[in-house]
Amino acid sequence: MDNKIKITFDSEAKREILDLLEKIVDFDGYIAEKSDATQRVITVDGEIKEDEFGGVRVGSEIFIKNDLPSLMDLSKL
Amino acid sequence: MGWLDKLKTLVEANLSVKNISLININYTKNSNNTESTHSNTENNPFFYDGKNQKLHIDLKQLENHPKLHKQVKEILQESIKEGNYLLENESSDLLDRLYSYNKSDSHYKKYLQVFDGVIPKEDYKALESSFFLRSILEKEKEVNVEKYKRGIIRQFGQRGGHIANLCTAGYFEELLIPIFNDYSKEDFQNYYQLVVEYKALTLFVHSRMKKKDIISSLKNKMGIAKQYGLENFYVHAKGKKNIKTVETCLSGFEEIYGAIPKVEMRYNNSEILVVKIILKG
Repeated sequence: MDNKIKITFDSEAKREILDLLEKIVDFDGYIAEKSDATQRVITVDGEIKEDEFGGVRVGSEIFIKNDLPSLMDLSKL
Repeated sequence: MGWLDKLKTLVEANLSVKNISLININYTKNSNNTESTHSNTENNPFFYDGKNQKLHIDLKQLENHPKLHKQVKEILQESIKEGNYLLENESSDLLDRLYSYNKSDSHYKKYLQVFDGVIPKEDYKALESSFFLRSILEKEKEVNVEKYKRGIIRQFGQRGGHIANLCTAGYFEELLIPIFNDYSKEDFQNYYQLVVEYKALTLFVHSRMKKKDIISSLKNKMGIAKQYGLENFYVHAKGKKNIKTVETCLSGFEEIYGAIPKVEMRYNNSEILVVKIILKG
């Protein structure tokens, strides 16, 4: 990732970023598919809430949690 | 044409852009907000910071340009498909620090290696994050420790939180590594279980604990210590309020509970108190 262009977003833009990725936030605060709100997005650590959303990689399929252990794992890929 | 060239073409309709090394996406809810300098007053969704080669894209402004909005959305999706990460600023900053830490020869990484294959995998991962936290605490004064610890607890539960507390208090290198070096693997693992699982050696007082909770925990620790033949355990408190509550609990403690509280460490500036509770024969 080091040699790639960094694309970042402000936390205020989180909802808009999710919209861009064709995702919504369901009534319980979890990120779900815009096309099917019953289908929650899954990360390697299970479902992900909006406030845990730290980003995305590879075709919007892999969601990244914003906590230290998740980013520690990511830093080693 | 690659995604970056496509983006440049769109942006250059309004701006002169040279190199781009960073793209930041923001959403300025109030365009009159003076802090929202990323978008200009001409309703332009793009702002280029040439000095830092940084392109800002304001999604709020883009909403006024449906066609452009759609194009930018497709370009960003393409960029992710090509392997670029799309990261929240704070996560991106933390990831950069983690890359630096991974490349460094930090002594904390050496401490961590001792526990590789010796403690449960999940504990090891919690410890790895905790040692990174130690490394930033060493360099920076203003660190939101609780936020990082919450992340560790979220991933590894209260056990992970306890590992983080033990690690930031120095127990892993000062206590557990010497035991690992001096005893058999089996003995070490039994002791580790005592320290991490039964929390026999430490009581970390947090702000939600009232006096009765602390007394109850102290009595519980004394029971565990006696059961496993330990001679003492430690109470850690941070912050004025917690220290005051601990001091109130320990006043007259020896007479009532038959254990001697001895102040081991007191840092008034950083408001840290460590008390050793010595069990009588």
